[in-house]
Amino acid sequence: MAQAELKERFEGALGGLAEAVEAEGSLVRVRVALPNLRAALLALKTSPDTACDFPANLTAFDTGQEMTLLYRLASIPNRWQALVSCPLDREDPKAPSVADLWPGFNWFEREVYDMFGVAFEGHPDLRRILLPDDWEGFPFRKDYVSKPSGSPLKGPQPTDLGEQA
Amino acid sequence: MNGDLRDLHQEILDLGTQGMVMNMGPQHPSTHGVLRLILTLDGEEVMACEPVIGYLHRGLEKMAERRPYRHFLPFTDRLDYVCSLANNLACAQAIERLAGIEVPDRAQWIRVALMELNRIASHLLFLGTFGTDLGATTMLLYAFREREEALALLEAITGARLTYNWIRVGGLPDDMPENWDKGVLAFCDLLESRVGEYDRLLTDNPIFRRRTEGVGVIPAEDAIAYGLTGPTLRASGVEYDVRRWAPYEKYAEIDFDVVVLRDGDTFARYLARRLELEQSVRILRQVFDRMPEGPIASKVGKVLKAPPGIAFSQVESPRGELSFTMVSDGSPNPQRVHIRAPSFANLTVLADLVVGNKVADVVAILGSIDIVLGEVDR
Repeated sequence: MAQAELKERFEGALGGLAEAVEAEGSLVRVRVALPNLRAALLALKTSPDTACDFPANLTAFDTGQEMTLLYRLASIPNRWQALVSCPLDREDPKAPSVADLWPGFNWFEREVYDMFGVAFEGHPDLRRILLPDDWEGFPFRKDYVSKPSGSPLKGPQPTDLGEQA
Repeated sequence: MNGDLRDLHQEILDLGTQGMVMNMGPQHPSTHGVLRLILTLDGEEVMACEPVIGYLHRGLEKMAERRPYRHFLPFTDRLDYVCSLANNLACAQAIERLAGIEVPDRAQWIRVALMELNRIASHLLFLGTFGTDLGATTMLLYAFREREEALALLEAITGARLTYNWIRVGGLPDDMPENWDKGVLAFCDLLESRVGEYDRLLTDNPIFRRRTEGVGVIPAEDAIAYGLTGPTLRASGVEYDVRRWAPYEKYAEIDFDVVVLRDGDTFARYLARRLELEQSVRILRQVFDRMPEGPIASKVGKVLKAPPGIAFSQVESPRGELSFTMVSDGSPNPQRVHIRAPSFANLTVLADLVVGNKVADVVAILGSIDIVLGEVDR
């Protein structure tokens, strides 16, 4: 399918919910503002033009100035996928949960909470998933400092390979 | 007297039934690593299940942020250690896409051969351990007999039996050793002559089928909503194989069938992997005839920097879609590396799937999802 047509389909399905839509091969990059996030994801899932009902991936990244959520949704029969990015308020990161739309995102949201401290509102069971329950801080935030805990069984270790490399 | 008994009976009914909480794992042979399942049981029946993961969490993604792009490749061997070449490839591919690096044709063909050989080794391990989970211990010996041959071939080219680290950004570290292709083709013939034995041991075994057929059925729409991938998804009738859906390396030029089954039960998930063995053999037979002579790696500078942006790879590992998402800020180190491990996504379905089944079926269902905790916990 022509990229212009693919872009049109996504713009049509999203209406005014997206800030930017770019098509690149079979990948459509979509940028959404936080208030429209859930509505945009729901539109991508349910609209027959996009039909992105497969929850492929959810992660986040932090630049130190800005924290961004990254959703990847695919439409298996149509062979296209959308990469949806949504900037967050870094001081108080919150986002609406979509675990009710895709049960597969339940654990992915817990992982993003575990690593970045993003509070997913409406998540049925928002707890740490990979780190121990008593871990302090969110290690993938760029302002996170690894502190020695004194115990090899608990907490981060003082090694920092980044400074040697 | 009768009245007293009736009161007592009513009193017991009012108390209600309380489930028994049982820990399965983290040290349990059938959880295939350090997975803990907190099961609430009513007799033999599972009322609730809560998987607890993270026991093997080593912070690999954080380690990736602290070193140059290429230095992370050996770490990826420790994700899905049963098929480490797929991890190497997914990592290298993400860097190649981020930095816009081309891979020579010959390297792409050898990569395909490595992927499929490693897929065979991984699926054989699954057949062996899955049989053992259900009490068919003989299968392990048969599967390991052939897996040994596959590992010997991988050792001949990479020098290692488990943690290969044999994919580089832009190609491969070295060409195939002499006569390696002949060895692989001989192995294909050997495996093909032996799959009938697996069928006699497991596929056509009435006890094995009674334990697996109709157990833990995942309907197609659930499989999609849970984001399952790999044979676990295809056993539910959804045709999604990254090798066909978004072809990488030379998979677009190769003739093979995507194994799709309908039933979505434990037996279908087993059978999907068993049938994929033959498809991998079919792919391996096409690779060597079409492989051109030429370089096996493109030139990549000593300091690898990628322009700012976001790129992700998609690789069909034996367990499903493996995807590395990399974010670059233009510096020599990645700003963020995220690993979408197929086992992690596939494991999300377990808690809901085992409810209402017997404890013994939990072992069968978990085995059929074929997880590797190294990549679940990362």
